Amino acid sequence: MTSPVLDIAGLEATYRVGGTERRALHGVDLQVAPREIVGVVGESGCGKSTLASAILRLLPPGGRITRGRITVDNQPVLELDTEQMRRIRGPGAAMIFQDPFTSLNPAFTVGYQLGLACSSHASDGASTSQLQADVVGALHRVGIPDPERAAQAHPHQLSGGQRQRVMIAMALLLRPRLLIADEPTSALDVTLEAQILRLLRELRDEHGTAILFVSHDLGSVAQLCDRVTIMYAGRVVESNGVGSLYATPAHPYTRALLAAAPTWRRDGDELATIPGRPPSLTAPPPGCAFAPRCRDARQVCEAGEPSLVPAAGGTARCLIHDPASAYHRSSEASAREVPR
Amino acid sequence: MMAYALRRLAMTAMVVLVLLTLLAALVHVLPGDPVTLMLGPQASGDLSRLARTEMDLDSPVHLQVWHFIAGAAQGDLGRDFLTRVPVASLIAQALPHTLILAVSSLVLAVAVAIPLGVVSAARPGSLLDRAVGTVSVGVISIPSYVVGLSLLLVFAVWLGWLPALGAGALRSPIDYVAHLLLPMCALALIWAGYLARIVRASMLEVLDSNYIRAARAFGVHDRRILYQLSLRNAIVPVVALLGVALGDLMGSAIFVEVIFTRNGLGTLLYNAIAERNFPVVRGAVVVIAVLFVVANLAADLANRLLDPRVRADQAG
Amino acid sequence: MSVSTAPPGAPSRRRSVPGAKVAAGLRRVARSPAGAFGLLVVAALLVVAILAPVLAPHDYAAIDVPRRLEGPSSDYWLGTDHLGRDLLSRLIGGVRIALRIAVPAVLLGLAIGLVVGLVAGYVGRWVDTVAVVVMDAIQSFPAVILALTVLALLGGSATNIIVVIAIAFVPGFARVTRAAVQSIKQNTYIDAERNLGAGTARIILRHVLPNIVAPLLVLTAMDLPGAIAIESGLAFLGLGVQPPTPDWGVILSDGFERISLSPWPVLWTCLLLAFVTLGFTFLGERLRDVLDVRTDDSPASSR
Repeated sequence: MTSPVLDIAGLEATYRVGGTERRALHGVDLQVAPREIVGVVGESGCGKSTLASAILRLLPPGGRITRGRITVDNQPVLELDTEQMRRIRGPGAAMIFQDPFTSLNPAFTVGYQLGLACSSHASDGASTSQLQADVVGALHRVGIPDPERAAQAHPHQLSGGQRQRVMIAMALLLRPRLLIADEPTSALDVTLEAQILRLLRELRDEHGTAILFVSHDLGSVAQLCDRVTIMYAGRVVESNGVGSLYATPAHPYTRALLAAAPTWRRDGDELATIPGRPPSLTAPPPGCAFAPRCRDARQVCEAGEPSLVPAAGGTARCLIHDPASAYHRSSEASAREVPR
Repeated sequence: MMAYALRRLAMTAMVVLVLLTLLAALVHVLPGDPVTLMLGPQASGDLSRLARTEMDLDSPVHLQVWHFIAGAAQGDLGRDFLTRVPVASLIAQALPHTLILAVSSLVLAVAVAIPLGVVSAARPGSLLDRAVGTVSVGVISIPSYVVGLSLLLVFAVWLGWLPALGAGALRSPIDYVAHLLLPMCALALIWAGYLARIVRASMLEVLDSNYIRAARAFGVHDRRILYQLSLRNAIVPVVALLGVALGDLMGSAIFVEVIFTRNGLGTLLYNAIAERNFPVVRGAVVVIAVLFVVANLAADLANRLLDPRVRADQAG
Repeated sequence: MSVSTAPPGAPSRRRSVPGAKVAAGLRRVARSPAGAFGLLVVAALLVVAILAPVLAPHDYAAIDVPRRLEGPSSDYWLGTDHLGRDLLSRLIGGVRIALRIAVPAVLLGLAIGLVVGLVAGYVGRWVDTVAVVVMDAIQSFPAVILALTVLALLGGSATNIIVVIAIAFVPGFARVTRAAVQSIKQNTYIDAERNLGAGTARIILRHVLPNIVAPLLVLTAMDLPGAIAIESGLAFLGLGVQPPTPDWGVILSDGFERISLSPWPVLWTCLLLAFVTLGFTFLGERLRDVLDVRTDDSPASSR
């Protein structure tokens, strides 16, 4: 069994804002195998963006990784010095961000920025003409029309969809083992989204790049990913192959998410929602993080946090699937009232 | 671009107009009489009348302004009432020295401020950052003449390293530079402090942006990120300020020129004021005002040129 | 309209609350070294201003020609000027002079700026545009040159100096007031509609004034050193008070003329001016942090 391209173990991270500290990640484990596309899904604030940023140690100011181990391409990321870290960013693992409109430097041409990404990692002095050819080639590869002209353009002269392609082109040029895509299509419309997703798939198929695809959209995840991880309140609550997860969701939160996704149904059907709100990050309640909103919660759920157990072909963090837990012995409903 | 430049030109012309009117209006409104101050209370009635007519003091405010502008358009800024020398030529002699002082001070200020601001932003909260921060606040608040006098005291009077008087002859560059050094440093110090803070603030904002984060995510060298990718964006608001800086330097330049006994526009103004030489005062102030608004305009236009979004919008 | 009275039985907290807030605010300011330094300087200045005649060891006008241009000695702690007058006493005397001009100037600027800002913000349209253009013109122009010119023409009486310095600071205050009025105008527009006509202006006043106290306070603290600096600078250039008044600028200029004979007048006055301006500025900065105000602090606005 080849070693995973990405191996995260027990990752914990906090943010310090003003005087308060918020725990954003509570012991997250995640692996991505070579050539695998793994989706990370959750609602806003669940920690998926923090997770993505943490891999290359790109947390925003105030953010800190407090515990855990991250291995990218067999390198222990948290132990590297600045220069080693710099060398991994790009060729080892590359990251593209959510908002294509602000991901490119407005003061320089697209071609220059792409070239810069390359030359920052070239061990030999590649000639400028070679570099330019590579850049134009990459732009062509991601489907940008008139790539020579595009290379001379400034970012604001390109559309959002084109700019996101440019980011993918940057990743293409560096041939990373892993691409971390943090909600790359959230700012784009549906047609553009489909194109970007197809591009990402091609990236994996033709270049063998593994992808960590972070999103809040179950639909795009279903289209693109091999495996899916569901996150809630800074924890992994379920993980499974994409087909199994959508067919037989194990965790109550996953079930609720899938139920809440709007689909074409009969007119007049009410849109299902998940009652309640995600827990406070500064003062998390004891026990299962989802219990206050869970229809199937029992008193024992509030006692202690459940661990990940095998469920429905994958894993889930829920006492329902743990045959040994006290959940199955008591039948008392949770004392807390589930808000309607 | 053209349309914008013309619009700004019109705005600045209006600013000069406002200033001229304000000046004339204030003379009317506030107590005191320029002619009496200039010639003394014992002056004969004829002389007083002559002075009033020549200085156009009896015309209503708007006509005063109009006459002055009409004359200025033809290069006539009035005459020194006592020596009959045209004000324009007095100014032409003094102006180069002031411009050299102002420009060289600005260049020095910028050359010092940018590295300081960048390094402070790269390591916010560090000892260096806090030191630069405190010193720059200090330097900004202390009056320019205090800075000038202190430099004079230490380097010219006490240590004797540099000359204290005069501008030196332009013919001998080394001598001129020696005379330029202290006044230039006095002016530059204050603006270096202020510009460093602006650069730092601007850099911090840019360093926080998504595109810098993306550059880091693709492994671009730190030095390049700071000095090329970030600075290029951070410098844009600073350029706009350079115009303001140049204008303000003119104000402080008066003190510095007097302290170091440099002949320039400031000393000309100062002496004219001491003599109550109204035509020279008016001419000098107007020239300073025009220089000032032109500098602002130039900085504003340069700013637009630098901002790639605006520039490319015009190009389509 | 009658002022609402506290319901019966409620404790009369209203009178003590502002005092407690001020004390708490001062404590916060003093917590940083810069703020503490600023408070110290301002306090010292006030003490000296009040107790000047008592603190000064000599009469600031007392001439002692045989002891002219001396350095520090047991009689004259900071040395003497060109007429043998005690520098320490003169500098102490200068505190009152400086404050006597600077404080009214800034307050006058505040008053005028407040009115201009209120009118421009409330009335809007062309009045506002004109006000903005004029304020911009004044603010961006070096205050010193403006002051110089006016004073040159009309003489350096105290009134003229105060007015001219005040004008330099008007735009800053006007801008703050105008911004506050504009934001309140948007917020209370609906309220204003509901009100019976006459309420609108009063509402704006009642809403605007509490909002602008903080930024105006900060601006005042930042403008005071500017006013002192301009006033001393003008005196240095010969526009201002008559001898033997111990204006700091005059002490500077007298000392400057004889700087090769004795550095002491220039040295002490420069140090004093530096301390005073630094103190006020640090205080203003710290106040701004504590009160969480956003202003733009271009030196062009107060030089």
